[in-house]
Amino acid sequence: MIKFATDEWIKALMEVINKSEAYAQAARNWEGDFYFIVDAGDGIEEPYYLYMDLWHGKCREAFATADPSIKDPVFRMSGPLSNWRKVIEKKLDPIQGLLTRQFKLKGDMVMIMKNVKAAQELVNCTTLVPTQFPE
Amino acid sequence: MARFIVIHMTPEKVTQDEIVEGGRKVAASQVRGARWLNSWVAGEAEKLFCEWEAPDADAVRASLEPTAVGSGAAGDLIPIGARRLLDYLL
Repeated sequence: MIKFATDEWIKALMEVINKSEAYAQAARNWEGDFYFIVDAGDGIEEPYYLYMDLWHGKCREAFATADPSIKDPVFRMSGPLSNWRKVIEKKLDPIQGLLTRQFKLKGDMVMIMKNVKAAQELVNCTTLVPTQFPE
Repeated sequence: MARFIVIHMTPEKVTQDEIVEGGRKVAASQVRGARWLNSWVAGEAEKLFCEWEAPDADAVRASLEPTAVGSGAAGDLIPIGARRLLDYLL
């Protein structure tokens, strides 16, 4: 099991993504890097920043950091740990989460909504990482 | 009540707040018996399809008028009806 939102976890996710034919196909036109941000709260003292450089169906770089100034990604998606867990456990659709403001997004929402299938396959990839959530 | 499909062109760029607030405006501006039922994003086609139930097309247009997807952005407004389609098929 890999502790969620650690560098080990996001790198494991990158590996899953880069082996996924379904993701490669769904995200073949995607260009844009992300900070996926776990908000402080729920026992988390400082936000976690998970960086992913997603490019035409592959992940070119991924790491966890406490210093968001390292990168300036096109997209920043943030939410509490509980909501990230719901997404990974497929109890919350990430697009629905954005439309109901359970996640905040900085970046072009139209681009996200044009690539719903890519978002779904990204979530599918997260389910293949053996994840340990804090209790 | 008649059913209508409204076809909007998706904007080039929009923020999360703009989409959420736009949806709230539409939900709040339903007038003259018009009711917004559902919407679908056809991403690659750059179109948004919205299904309405209303006494007539003018009620749908009146509901969309005050919103970000109002007149001029409403595009095609197409009446639909299962019976009409079945008339062709049977």
